Amino acid sequence: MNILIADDEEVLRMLIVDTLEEEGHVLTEAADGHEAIECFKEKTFDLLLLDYMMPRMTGIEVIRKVRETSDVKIVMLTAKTQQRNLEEAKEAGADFFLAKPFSPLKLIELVTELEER
Amino acid sequence: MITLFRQTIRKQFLVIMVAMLLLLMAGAAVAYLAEKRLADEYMEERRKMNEKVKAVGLVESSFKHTIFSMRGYIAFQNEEELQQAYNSARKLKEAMRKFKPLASSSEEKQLVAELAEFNGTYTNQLVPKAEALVKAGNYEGVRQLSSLGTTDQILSLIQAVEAEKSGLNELIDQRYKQFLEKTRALNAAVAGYFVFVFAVTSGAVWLLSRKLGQPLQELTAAAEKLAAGGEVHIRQIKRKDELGVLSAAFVHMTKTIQEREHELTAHNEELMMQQEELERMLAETEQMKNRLLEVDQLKSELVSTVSHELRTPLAGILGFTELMLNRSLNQEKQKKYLTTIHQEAVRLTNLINDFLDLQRMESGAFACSFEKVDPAPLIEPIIETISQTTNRHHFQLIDQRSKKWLSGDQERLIQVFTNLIGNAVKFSPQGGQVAVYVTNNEKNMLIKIKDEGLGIPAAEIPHVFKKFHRIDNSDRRKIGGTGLGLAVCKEIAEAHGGTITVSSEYGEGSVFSVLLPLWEEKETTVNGERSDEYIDCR
Ligand SMILES: Nc1ncnc2c1ncn2[C@@H]1O[C@H](COP(=O)(O)OP(=O)(O)O)[C@@H](O)[C@H]1O
Ligand SMILES: [Mg+2]
Ligand SMILES: [Mg+2]
Repeated sequence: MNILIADDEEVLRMLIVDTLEEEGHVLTEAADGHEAIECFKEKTFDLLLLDYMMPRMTGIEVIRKVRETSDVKIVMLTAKTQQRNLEEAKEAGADFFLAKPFSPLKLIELVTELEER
Repeated sequence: MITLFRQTIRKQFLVIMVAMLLLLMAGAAVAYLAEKRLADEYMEERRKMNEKVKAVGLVESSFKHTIFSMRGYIAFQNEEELQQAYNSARKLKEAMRKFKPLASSSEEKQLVAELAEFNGTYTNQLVPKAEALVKAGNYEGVRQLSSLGTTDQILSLIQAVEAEKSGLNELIDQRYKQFLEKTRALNAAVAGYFVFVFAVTSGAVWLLSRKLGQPLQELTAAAEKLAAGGEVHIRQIKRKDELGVLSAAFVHMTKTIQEREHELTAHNEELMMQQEELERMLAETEQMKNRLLEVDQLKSELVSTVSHELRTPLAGILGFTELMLNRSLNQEKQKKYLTTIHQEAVRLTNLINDFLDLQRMESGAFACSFEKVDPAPLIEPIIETISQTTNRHHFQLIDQRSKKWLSGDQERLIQVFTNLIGNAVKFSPQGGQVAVYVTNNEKNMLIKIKDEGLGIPAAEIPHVFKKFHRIDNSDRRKIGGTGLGLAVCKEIAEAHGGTITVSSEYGEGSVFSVLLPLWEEKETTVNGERSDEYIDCR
């Protein structure tokens, strides 16, 4: 699967890349929302793993922008577990949520499940 | 009595009016009396003169009768005539006796004397002589007798008496004229007197009204000024009349009004001050509210920040440990993961430490143990550690001290330097030089940390040391942090009796300066008990 990971934390990007590349996916990294949008202009992705709290552009803003052109599956990685934020993200067009800290095995499971759909 | 009456204007008027009335009445009385006397005198004189006229008339008629009867007797030898003549002569005598006391002028007296003499001679000598001659029929003798001048004398006497009579009548006329003139003069005098009294009264009234008018005008002017809101300084008119009373009342009123006004002004000022105070308090309350709201917002921001900042390293630690536990990894990967895990654990520890420090600061339980500290060996390992996390920066420690020791809490100072050098690296993402200067003067050690990074906007400089304050610019959004580091540094520097300041050129870099007191040998002996105050800082 062609996956874009957008997160401002390098450590988390590294964790996700290492976890999913091992499973045979192709990963592209974006350090913030803008970079993510730029990547979407160049390529098409099967899955977007998106951090909620990022500088310059929040995850929600990225979803809205991406949803203008794409119906890619979006998984929100969020440290913010408040219901309010989740609903906002859902409304904007997020498909799944994964709370930080997350288990890499669970992430693999989720991605596999999404791939099979 | 006048002074007694002077007390009131009404009384003054009354005095004037009464005086006028009295004067008029006195004038009238005097005029009446004078006129009465004049009239009385005149009437008396007239009566006397009439009496005189009557007496003269009687003298005249009896004289004429005597002469006439005598002539008749001589002419007709009639006894009766003779008798008549004697009778008339007696009457004349009688009339003479009556007239005599009335005769006043010398001519009259002379006339009386002449008549008396004539009568005497006539009745005593001539008549008996003539009688005898007639009885003897001697008319020659009678003729001789008469030619002796008797007839002339008689005629002149008759003339004199008649003249006296007409003279008297003329006198009466004259006197009457005189009386009329006198009466007229008196009337004129009375009229003049009345005019004079009236004039004097009018003058007095005019003077009085003028005396009233001026103070009244002054009072009116003062009242108008007072009504217009002006300040009035009026002196009380020292008078015993109503004006004096009015003036006193007015002065009193003015005083009262002005006092009230001052009171009101004072009240007003007080009210205004109170209002100002209230407004100030309101503004303060508003400010307080805003600050509370701000603090509230800061707190909720802190919660979300802390939650985010805690979860991020935890995610790394948990994720990599899980991978390590579930995958067989080569040595290189294992080392990489472990380094990351360690790094994230340190980050987590720092965050928790900062947060706990902050909590202690807020609760006031924050103390340091001061000892002899050489800052250079503290800074070197910090630079060493941090330099391992970056390859874009190069570090420099420039030691220009003349004194080695400062007074400080080693652990705390490590915290400060770690934070400042960490910031210098963190906020210069393009890299560059990070220089640490150590200098001193007589009293203080100065440690400057200089970078070539993003710098701080001038407007943010006063705020960077505030708790939770992070600059929200796009150039540093991806740089993590809690906004606690500098607040902690400031607290520590101040607990040392030092300061921390920053100067920065936005976009060029920043210089953070920490000023700390030098170690004084005496301090240990003098403030020897200091170590007793030791409270675990960590
Ligand atoms: N050396 C520096 N250069 C530029 N900005 C700085 C520097 N040090 C601190 N700042 C600014 O001051 C803010 C507060 O710093 P700090 O209290 O250490 O918080 P944190 O490091 O957690 O962000 C930082 O967010 C940053 O914007
Ligand atoms: Mg993030
Ligand atoms: Mg910091």
